[in-house]
Amino acid sequence: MRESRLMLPGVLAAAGLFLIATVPRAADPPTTDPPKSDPPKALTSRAAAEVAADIDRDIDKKLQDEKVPASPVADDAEFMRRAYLDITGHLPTPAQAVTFLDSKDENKRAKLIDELLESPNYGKHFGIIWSDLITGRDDNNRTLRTDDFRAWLAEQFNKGRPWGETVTDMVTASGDITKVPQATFVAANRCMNNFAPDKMVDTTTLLFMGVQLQCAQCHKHPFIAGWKQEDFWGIAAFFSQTRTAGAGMQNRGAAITVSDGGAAPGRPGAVRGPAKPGGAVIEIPDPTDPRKRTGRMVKAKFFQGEEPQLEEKDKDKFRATFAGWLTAPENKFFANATVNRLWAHFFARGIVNPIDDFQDANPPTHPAVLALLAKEFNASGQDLKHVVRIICNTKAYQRTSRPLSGNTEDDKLYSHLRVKVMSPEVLYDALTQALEVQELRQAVRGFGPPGGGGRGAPGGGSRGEFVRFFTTKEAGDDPDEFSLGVPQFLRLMNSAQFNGRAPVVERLMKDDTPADKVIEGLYLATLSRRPTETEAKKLGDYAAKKSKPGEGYDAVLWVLLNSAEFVCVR
Amino acid sequence: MLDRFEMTRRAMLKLSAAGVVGGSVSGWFGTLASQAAEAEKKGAKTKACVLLWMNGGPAQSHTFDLKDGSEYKAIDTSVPGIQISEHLPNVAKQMENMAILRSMSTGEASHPRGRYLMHTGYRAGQGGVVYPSIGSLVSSELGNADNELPNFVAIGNTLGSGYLGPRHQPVTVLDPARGIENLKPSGELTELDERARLVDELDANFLKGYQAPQIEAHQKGYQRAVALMHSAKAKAFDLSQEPSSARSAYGSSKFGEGCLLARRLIEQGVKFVEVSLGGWDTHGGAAQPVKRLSAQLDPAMAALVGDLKERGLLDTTLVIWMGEFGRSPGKGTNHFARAWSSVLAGAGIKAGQVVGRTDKGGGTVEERPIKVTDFFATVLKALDIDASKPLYSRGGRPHKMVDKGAEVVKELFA
Repeated sequence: MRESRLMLPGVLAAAGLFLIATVPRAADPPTTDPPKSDPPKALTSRAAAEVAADIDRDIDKKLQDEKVPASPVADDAEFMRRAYLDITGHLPTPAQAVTFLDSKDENKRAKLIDELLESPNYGKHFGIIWSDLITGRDDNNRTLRTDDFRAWLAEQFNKGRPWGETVTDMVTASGDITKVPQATFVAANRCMNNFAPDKMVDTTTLLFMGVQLQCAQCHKHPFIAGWKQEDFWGIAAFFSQTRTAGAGMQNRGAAITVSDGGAAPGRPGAVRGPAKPGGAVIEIPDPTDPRKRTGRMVKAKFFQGEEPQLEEKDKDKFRATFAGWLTAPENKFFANATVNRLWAHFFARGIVNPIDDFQDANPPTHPAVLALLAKEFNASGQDLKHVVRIICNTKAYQRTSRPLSGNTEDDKLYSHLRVKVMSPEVLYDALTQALEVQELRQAVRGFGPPGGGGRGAPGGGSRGEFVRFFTTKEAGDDPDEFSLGVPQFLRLMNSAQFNGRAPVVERLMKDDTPADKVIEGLYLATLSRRPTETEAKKLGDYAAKKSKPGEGYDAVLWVLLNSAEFVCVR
Repeated sequence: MLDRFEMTRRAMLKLSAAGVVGGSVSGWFGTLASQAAEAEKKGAKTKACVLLWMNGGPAQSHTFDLKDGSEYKAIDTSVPGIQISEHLPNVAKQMENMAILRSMSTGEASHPRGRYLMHTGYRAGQGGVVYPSIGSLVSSELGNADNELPNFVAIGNTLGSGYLGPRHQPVTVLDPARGIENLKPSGELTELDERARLVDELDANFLKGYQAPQIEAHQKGYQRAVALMHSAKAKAFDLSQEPSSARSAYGSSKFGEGCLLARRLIEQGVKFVEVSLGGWDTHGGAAQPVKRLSAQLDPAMAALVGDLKERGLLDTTLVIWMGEFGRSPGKGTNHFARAWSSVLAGAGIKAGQVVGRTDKGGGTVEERPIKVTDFFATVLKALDIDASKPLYSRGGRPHKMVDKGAEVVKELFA
């Protein structure tokens, strides 16, 4: 639990003003030194429960204003499974489920949230999510190794490293990705084996600023006034000297080295001939032929900000300069995009939605909530766990997903929590957990999306094969959208993996356990709850019809794993 | 601007729930009802396409554009005046149903770039997006969301749907002899039906309480999967249903089986099937390897075209034969994109002709050069797809199906 001082709103506001008046960075010209990561001393973060209450006040008021009733609080089983899956990407074990469900502790929900944040699976879960966001965006990354990168990310999340530091580390890393896993971030932005600064601009602006700048790559932005090509390429110029070298795209998991050795000639935007004065400069390429020259030179420029003075000799500081601006507390884009994305992870919808399209024509539904979370993010030293703790402690997050007749249509006021769907990675873990196996059998030949289907490499082995097979949408698509199709259903129904005697059934059947207890155990292992009376009777009767012992239980397990409730996150 | 995303999302969710292949529709701005579904309601049948993809870049000098002094003998075909490689005798007999385009000139001589170019009509890196492969385009414009079978099947791996999104990704069959995996239940079909009924009941109950579209999508998807298990259409993937005479006509190679599978799928309404044959990257000289490859190509391609014709499907099915580029004249060693050959058949194009001509040595195009955009425009026209219609990617950005400056190869149309 973080130490925090309780502050009255008036004092908080005054402290905020104090902060804005005294922080030096906004006035000084940006330096080329890497930024310090200490949070501003005048402001500390508040207790999560308090902030959560403020958020609920705002949400409840809007519900009242719109005359939309709020659904009641979720029951323990609903909340528990949801929290486990959202925070750690894992199901509770049957034992953990029973412990929580049967506990009489009034504070068990808050305590569970704290516990889940300290679980190593929290880092693993978000490490996978971010690795996929960073590498999964195109075919060029199909053979890119990601296991080390995922592990590195998991470590940063688990030790609660300030997010700005993690991002800076990734943006500025150099070296061989097999030794410096964070350099995978830069390596994930190549086109045909060469680092592409335009891809880097897309990635950073989309993921860390929540803005769709890519239209401005080739011309004035058609929808957003004032966003010009110079804005896009001004950011690209910070990466004008960055290059990658390594084996071709056909080599799965090959070493790739990132450096600031000067752009590879012939690469889009490469400045040919003697370096221009001013250092961080890039040439805007011809949009119809990336290899043609236009002569339009752009200097490095912060988005909607100034051009820092960057000399040619400082070329290994270009990226650090950009990262410093990007992750600074003053950069509203960074804080807003970060907390908005986290919000969307839990609520299946950003306060600004789509989450990567912050612009005037796409306003936040709850601007006060967004501002509050952004402030807490910075005040806590960019501590993601703090933001998660706040979000999960809100009443809004803990509402049931069952709508009332008066709020069925609501999808932006948080009257009830939207149902989400397990991602393929989470589904893999959930299946192994439920069956009580270490890993699933790898399908020898399958059919499904072509090698990657536009995703990055989810790794090898049975997990990689499964995830590729079950990936039918792109990283960044709505988590609440159901997209599995016939090939996936056929595999879940008919493949050998799900049609034998599973260890979980063997365990439950031991010692002549009565049928109703076995069925209860199967429900706890899959749906993390006990069956209703009707369910127990229906499935119990069905199981009893089978002649051979255990066959009935195999069938019940099969039915539960193939049900919507298993793969949905309610 | 918020409406731009939200409004079509709900409508699209309905299609997603009915999707055979699956795929997220959030952010995708494509057509709400495919042309095909509309057309079929009105009784018109839309066209289909088979792409025979020759991976590696086949030597035109050893296949469809032989010169004096060629390493192979040139043989007559069923069209007087047209001669092709002696190692394609069965294809030669089908020449009256085909048109050879000898003046392909496309400028991309690297494998990945050429592959991307010939599948999408655009250069890699152009436009800042990943363009959809022709199969995904056809799935988008001619596909029928209500078909139990997927709209785009790839036998062997291929390029994906790019900005068109996951809805139009191909379903990949790696081994045509095995077809769709997991179509058969592990036990009795009756037992599976019983279990599926229980799943359906649990889902119905869950849906009642939570009323979420995903639950409905799950329920419908399972119903569809079980229906496919019962359906005669799924048998399209089962090659053992074919008489041995057919299997030997196509040849026992994987490519041959793939072409036979393609014909079966086309018969059942699949809109685009891509069948790959690799090994054409003959840097050491084309003579030996192309002879081997021709032995696989020849019976399969001829049987496919012949079968489609016999079954009355050729007029509505376009067959494309091509690789990412050709090879240097003479020995067929190096990549060569300046002057190479592709072949088109079916879909009502004017067959039995050669379009374009290369010079005596085969090093340049002398007559009627065909750029990739011209080729694409021609393919789309043959499939009755309106190439002027913009397609949309995530975020509402419009795209052209073919890049500007494209000229349809008029010689192929009446």
